Amino acid sequence: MDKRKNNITSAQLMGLIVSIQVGIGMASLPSNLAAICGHDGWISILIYGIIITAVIALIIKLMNRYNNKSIYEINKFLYGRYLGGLLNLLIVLYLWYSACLSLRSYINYIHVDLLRSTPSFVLCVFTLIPTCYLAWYGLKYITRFAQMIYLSIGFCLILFLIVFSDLRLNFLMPIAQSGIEGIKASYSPCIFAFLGYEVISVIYPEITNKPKTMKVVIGSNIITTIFFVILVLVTTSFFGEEMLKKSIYPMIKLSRSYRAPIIERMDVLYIAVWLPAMAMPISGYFSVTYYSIRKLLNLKKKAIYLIVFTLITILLSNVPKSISNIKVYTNIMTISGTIFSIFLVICYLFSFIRKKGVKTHA
Amino acid sequence: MAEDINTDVNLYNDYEKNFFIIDANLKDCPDIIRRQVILNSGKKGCFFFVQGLCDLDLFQRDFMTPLLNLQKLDSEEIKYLPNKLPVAGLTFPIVIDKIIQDILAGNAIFICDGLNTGISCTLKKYDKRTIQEPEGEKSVRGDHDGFIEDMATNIATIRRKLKTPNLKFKNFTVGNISHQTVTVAYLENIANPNILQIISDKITQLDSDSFIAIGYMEQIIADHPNSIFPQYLATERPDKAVAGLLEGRFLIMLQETSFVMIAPVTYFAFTQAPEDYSTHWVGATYLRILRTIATLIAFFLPGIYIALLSFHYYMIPLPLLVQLAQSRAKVPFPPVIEAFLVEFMIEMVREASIRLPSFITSSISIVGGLVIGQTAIQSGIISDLMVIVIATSAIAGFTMPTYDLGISIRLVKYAIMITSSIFGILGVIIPMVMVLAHLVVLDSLGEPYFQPIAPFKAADLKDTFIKAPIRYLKKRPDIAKPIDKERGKKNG
Repeated sequence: MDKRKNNITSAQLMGLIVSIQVGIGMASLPSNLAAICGHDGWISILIYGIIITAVIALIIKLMNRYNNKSIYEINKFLYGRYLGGLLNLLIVLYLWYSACLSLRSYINYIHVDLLRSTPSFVLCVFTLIPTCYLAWYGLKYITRFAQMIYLSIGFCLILFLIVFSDLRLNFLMPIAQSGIEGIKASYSPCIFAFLGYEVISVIYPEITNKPKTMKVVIGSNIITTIFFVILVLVTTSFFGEEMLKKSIYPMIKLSRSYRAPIIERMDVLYIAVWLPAMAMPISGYFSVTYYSIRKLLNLKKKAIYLIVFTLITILLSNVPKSISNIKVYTNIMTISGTIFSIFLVICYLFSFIRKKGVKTHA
Repeated sequence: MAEDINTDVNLYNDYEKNFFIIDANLKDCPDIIRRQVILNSGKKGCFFFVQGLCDLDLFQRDFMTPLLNLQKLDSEEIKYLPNKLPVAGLTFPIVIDKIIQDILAGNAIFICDGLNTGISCTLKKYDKRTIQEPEGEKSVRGDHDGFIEDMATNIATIRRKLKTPNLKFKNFTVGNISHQTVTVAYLENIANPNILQIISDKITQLDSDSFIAIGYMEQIIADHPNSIFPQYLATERPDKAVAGLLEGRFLIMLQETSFVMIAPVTYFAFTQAPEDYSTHWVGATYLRILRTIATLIAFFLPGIYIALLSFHYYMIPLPLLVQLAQSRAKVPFPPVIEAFLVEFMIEMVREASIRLPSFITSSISIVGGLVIGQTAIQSGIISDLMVIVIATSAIAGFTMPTYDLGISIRLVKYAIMITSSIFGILGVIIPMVMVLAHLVVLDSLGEPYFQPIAPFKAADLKDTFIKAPIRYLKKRPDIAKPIDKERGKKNG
């Protein structure tokens, strides 16, 4: 019974990956990009989207080489018990770090836009309630819930359509002004926005329809890429480069700038639709981390473990004190996420040398 | 004492002993008639039946008289007995326990000297309610018949509507004291046998003295007994039940209750009324959308209003804000207290009027609604916009076709009102996410409760928020995992 609670179908996997990717990048991606490469952010996003697709393809090839194994077991095959165990620990720490950081940036977002003086500790506890609830029941329910991301994306696209007449395409000209240098420099915000695909290496054994995984994950990456490109295009051509650099969360500003007839301000509605979407990376990373910890330490399903885990997460997420502080931590996450991705690719190559545990008939 | 006698034995050859055992067991039950006779053949015998459950005319004419007139009655002769007794149900129980059960179930029983088997005859006749439209589930264009407390009539009602040998009824006995029958009805070539197995397991594991209403059973066999959302659809309407059967669902019927449970169901089954299907699809779609919006209003409107008033007043349009400030100026309470005052009053009027006779109800609603509401605004305890908001959400809650869901909506609404007064709009969103998360987690007999949305089933959406024309609803909903997925005969 407990085993079945973690099953993930392909459509749900797609929702999970899209929700982690979109949620984490949506808030601050356009302004970060504008600060680095001006109005050409969308080109960088497109290019990095293609690169990431290739990385995802390699990761899934690695997973396919092994029979129903997650990266934790593969590490033990490849690097032996002790080194593998150490690497597993690092991976869990990375996932946990991501969960804490996404929680902290989410709380920060609420601080800036909604509740200025509520203590972040209280907000953390409050926002983690649904996540905790879902994590208790298992990955299956997290992924079922993650499909709601399409609703939020749909609402975003409707907003883009509404403001369409106010867009000025001149802001995008001249195309590719920042050149190769700009694309190289925009590496950090782009990778950060796309992070989330790496959880596939952890949850792979729970996917029910494995042959379709490659298609599904690449599909979700394509959805994310297209959405980000539209997002950056719209925000850049709406605000212009200079204005965009100065705003922290351009999406909220975009919804505030739109004046609806009669009810005047629509931003409450959009915030209402986005807030759950932005919380999805938290629930995604949180539950994947909890799942990994349970799996690695062989824990039984007990409320006390989840409570302890939640408490530590809340405490850790309160470590960063200011926005600039959060940026530093975000950079660390970007770097470690990149290292993790490269590590997975190395694992793939290494598995040709050390063939222990590799699926024979593949 | 009756308990000391072992009744789980075959009838003895000794009539006196048999009679003594049965008689001692049924001691102090004056409603059970023991009619001792001497047959034509000179043997002693006794009839047992329950007064009020047995048709006395038939009993005398078709059971008692032929038996008394028999020239010979022994174990050899009993083979020909079915030909000589003109009654429909005739069995020959040999275990004393079974005989007692038969007597209590309303059969007429005969035991006699020299015969180590009883003669049990079904001659039930008792008073039952006539079929009427269920009060709680009125319908404009639907049928006006309803289930009643008698299970045989209910089964006959379903059988009348579905004349197919595939309509099966599986019987279980529950209740250690009441010995009630639970019947699970399903269509054999459509319903999924795995789900039938789950239901059977759940029912056979029931351990209780008695189930007074089907709600008792519902709370025990629910997948998530602590959830405030109903996981089985209780109904008194045969058309709903038959529609459920045709979609591959199961009906759980309990003896002596007029409600039947339909399972597995989704959340959206509680928002659908039977006349959705008998009206034109455009009208039905309009009603569905109306109900969906009403649900959202019932859940969120007071919470959003409180959040806007307490935290985000800059989001209220300016012309309205002035009006609002004027009406709020007199009120001494914070919005949440004010909201709960109104809410509490409406709830009290509602609760009081449910159980009172209808002629008092109207005066209650005048006093509660008009007098108190009007004077409360005038005296400055509550603002008039708050009354509008709370009353709107209360009325929106009444649009739900089922009673059970109404309670869940109200409870969630109160939670949202409290959190929104602390966290503003975030206090609306987090409970909303929580409710969604909860709905996603819920199962009804192992099938996802929030189905066409998450997990997403595009094909089932056309019968959820909208109602597509009947000709496009050729597929049965996926929730019950029917074996036969298509409605109607396939061509070729």
